Amino acid sequence: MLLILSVLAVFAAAAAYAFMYNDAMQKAREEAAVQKEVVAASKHTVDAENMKAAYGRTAADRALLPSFLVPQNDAVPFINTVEAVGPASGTKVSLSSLSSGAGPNPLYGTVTATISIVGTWANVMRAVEMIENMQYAISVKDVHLDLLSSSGPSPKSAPNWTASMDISALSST
Amino acid sequence: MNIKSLLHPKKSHKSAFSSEHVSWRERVGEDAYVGWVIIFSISLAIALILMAYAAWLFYLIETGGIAPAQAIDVPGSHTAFDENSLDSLISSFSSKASTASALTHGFNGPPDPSL
Repeated sequence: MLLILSVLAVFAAAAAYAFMYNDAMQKAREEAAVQKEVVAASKHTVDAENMKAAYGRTAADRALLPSFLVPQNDAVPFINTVEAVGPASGTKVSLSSLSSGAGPNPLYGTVTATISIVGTWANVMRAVEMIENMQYAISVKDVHLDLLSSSGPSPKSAPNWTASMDISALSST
Repeated sequence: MNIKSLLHPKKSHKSAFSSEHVSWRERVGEDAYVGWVIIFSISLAIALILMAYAAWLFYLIETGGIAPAQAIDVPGSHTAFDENSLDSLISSFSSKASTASALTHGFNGPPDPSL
């Protein structure tokens, strides 16, 4: 009888141990899950604070970004800027076939135009570089240079050149 | 092992206190003291193993070594915009402005190829 009781006591102790072990492990796993959530929440809070700081820090730079895009519904300032290159470089600049289209992504469109420039070699090259360096997100392609005449208006003046090129500028939608 | 000998140990000629040399194997099941020593030793060994395992589990819990109860899908943070890219963009436009400003003073490039 005592032996049976002893064996039962051993089984009872083992069962109690197993029960407490499972309970403790379950609690530990739940605590680990909560701790992981807390760590993630803390990280998100830090990220949000960093983002807020970056938002304030970049306010001035972000305010400049729209000026780098050609307004989709108002291309006049862009046209004026291109045509102002002529007087600034001592050339005759004419702009033709202005059109708008889809951009590299849905957020932006593009404005494309064909430009022709007439003037001396130095001035034409200067105009090309000025157009390339306008304060727009602009790209220049298909530049063609041709010699118009071996001499300018007067026999001693430099020969005239003509340049034609396609430009593409990002526009806001 | 005889349970009666465990509960009512009696000295015999083979007891632990006997001066006669008897091997352990022969005394197991015959000498109640040997039985108690074996039981105590096994219990102590089991207790030590359980305590060591408990200490190990305690260490795991304290150091976060226990896997979470369920997989937690915590969305990772992402950067809304790259500040370095913005700085680079502003810098490139500043550079373009400087170049355009320099061009108003003249052109320093290759000479007219027709001359």
